[in-house]
Amino acid sequence: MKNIDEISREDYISKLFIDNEHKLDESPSGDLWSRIETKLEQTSLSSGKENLPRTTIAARKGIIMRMVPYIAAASVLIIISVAISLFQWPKQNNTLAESKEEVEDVDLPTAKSETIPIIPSDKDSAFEEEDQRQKIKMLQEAKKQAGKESKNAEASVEKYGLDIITINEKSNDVITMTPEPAKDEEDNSFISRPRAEYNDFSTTNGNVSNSPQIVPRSDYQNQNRNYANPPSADPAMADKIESYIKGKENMSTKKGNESKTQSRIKNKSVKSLQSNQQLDSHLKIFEWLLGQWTDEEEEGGIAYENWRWINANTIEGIGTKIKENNKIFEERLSIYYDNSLKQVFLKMQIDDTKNQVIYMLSSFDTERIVFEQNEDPGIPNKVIFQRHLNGYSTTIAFDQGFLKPAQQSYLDHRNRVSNVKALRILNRSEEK
Amino acid sequence: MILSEQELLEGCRKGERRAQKALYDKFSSKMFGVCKRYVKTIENAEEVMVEAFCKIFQKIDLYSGQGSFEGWIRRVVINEALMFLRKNYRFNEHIDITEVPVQAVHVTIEDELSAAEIMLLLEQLPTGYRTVFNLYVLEGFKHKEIAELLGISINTSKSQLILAKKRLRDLVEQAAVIRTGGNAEA
Repeated sequence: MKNIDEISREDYISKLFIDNEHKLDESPSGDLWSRIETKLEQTSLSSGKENLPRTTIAARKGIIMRMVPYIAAASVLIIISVAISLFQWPKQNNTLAESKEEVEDVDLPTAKSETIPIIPSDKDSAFEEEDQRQKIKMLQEAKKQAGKESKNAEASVEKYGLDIITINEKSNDVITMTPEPAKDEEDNSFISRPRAEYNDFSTTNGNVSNSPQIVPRSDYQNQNRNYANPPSADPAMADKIESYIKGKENMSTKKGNESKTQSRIKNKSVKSLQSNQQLDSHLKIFEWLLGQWTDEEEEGGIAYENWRWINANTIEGIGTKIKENNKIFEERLSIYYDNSLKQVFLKMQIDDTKNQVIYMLSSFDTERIVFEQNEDPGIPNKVIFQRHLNGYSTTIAFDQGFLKPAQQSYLDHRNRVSNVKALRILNRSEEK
Repeated sequence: MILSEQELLEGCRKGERRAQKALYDKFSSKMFGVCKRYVKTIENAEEVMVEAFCKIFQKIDLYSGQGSFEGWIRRVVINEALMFLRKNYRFNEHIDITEVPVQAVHVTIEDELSAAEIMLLLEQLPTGYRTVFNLYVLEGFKHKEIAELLGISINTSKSQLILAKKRLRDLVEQAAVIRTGGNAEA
C-alpha cells in the first residue's frame, strides 16, 4: 500500500519539478572557490588562536593539581579548629551558668527590693505581663477605632467591593478573617495585587500584618508590570469574549465542518459543565481544550494531555508521558480567571523546582491564545496555544534570552526543545 | 588526474587543499542549484555555498562512509540554506489554512520547464511555501521532519505544501495560456 506522502508527490506539479530540477545545476562564479579558501584559512588561523587558552587552562590545571595536598591539609586544619571551638562552646556556657547561679545566691536576700529582676524566669514573666497589658490596650483602641470607622469602612466596601475583615471579640489572641465573596461590579480605576501575595497573612500581637492593599491603577502600573493592554483586564472584554464565542458557534453550526470525534468530546465536556455549573465567560475561549489529547508518534514515549474543568473559574490540564508502560513525566497546568484581578492566568511549571510560574492572558484570536509574563527575566516570557486541524500545539518561548539547562531538561519532555523554546504538538484523542 | 571519491575523502580528511578543490569542482554545480531553489538571489545562494563548503571540509570526519557521500553533502547544504532562511524569516508566523479548495487542473503544455521558468515559478512563492515545497517534493522529507526542521507544526507543513502547489498550478496554467495563445484548457 502506498503511503499518502508518496501519493501526494505524484501530482502533475510535483512531477514537473522533479523531472526538471536538474536544469538548475549551474557552475557558481569563478571567485567562489577563492572565497571558500580564504574563509578556510581564516578559520584555521582562528582555531590556532583558540589553542592558546587551552594551553593556559592546562597550565592552570597543573598548578591546581600541585596545590591539592596543601589545600587538603589546610582544609583539615580548619575543620579541626572549628570542631574544637564547637566542642569548647558548651563548656563555656556551663561556666557562665554556674557563675550566674552564684550571683543569684548572693542576691537572694535583696529579692524583695524593686531592683530589675535578673532571674531569667522573673524577667520573662515581667515581659509577658507587659505584653498582655499592651495587647489589652491595643484591642481596646482597636475596638474604639472600629466603632468610629465602621461607617466609613462600610462605604469603602460598597464602593470598591473589598473583602470585609471581621474581628472575633470572644478571643483575646486570635483574629479571624472572613472574606466575603467578591462583588461582580468593580470600580475600574482600581486594581488589586495578585492573589499570590495574599496567601501569607499573619497576626502578630493583634495586628494584621501584610494585609491586602488596594493600589490605584497608576501606582500598580509603576510596579514594573507593563503588560500591554491585557484583554481580560478590559472591563468590556467579557462582552467581547461572549460575542466572539457566539460568532464562532454560529460559524460552526453553519459550516458543520467539525469532526464527529471533536464534537462528541466537546459535547461531553459541555454536558458535564452544564450539569453542575457554567464555565466562566472569560474561560469560554478555552472550552475547545477540554478533553484528551495525545501524541503517539513521540519518540521518547507517548505524550498525553487531559484537560478538565475544576470549577467555574478554573480548568486544569494534566500532561503525562508514558514509556514502556511507565509514567516518566507528569505536569499540571491550570488556566483560571481571577475574579479580583479580572484577568485570566495560566499557571505551570518551567523546571523541576516545583515553583509555579504565572502567565497572564495577553491576546487571543481564532488561531492562537497567548499568555505572557515579564516579571522574571530568567524564565520564558510567552506561552502560546495554537489550534491546528485536529490538534493543537503549546509553545513556550523565550524571546529575550535562552532557556537554562534545568529548564531545558524539564521541558525536554515536550516534543521538541531548543535553547529558546519548547514545543508540544498534540492531536485530539479518539474516544474509545 | 581524476581522483576517486575515496581518494577525495581521504585527501579532504587530511586537509589537502588539492583534494578540497577537486571535491568542490565535482559537486559545486549541483549544490549551487540546490541553494538557488531555497534562497532567492544569486548573492545569497553564493553566501550559503561558502558557509556550506567550509562546513563540509571542517566536519568531513563526521561522514561515516555509510550512505551516499553526495547525499551527505546535499544535507549539509540544505541545512545551511535553512539556517540562512531562519535568520531572515520566521516560518511559524502565519495562519494555518484549514480549507483549501482543490480543483482538477488540466495543463496542456509539454512537460518541460526551463531553468529560468523553474526559478521564476519558485521566486513567486512566499518563502514558507517554497521551503516546504522544496523539502517535501524535491528532497523527499516527510512532514514530521519538515516540521522539526522549520519549527512549525505538521499541519502547517501540510497546509503550506497544498498552498504552494495550488499557487504553482495557477502560475503554470497562466504560462500555458500565454504559450498557447489563449487556447489552453483552463
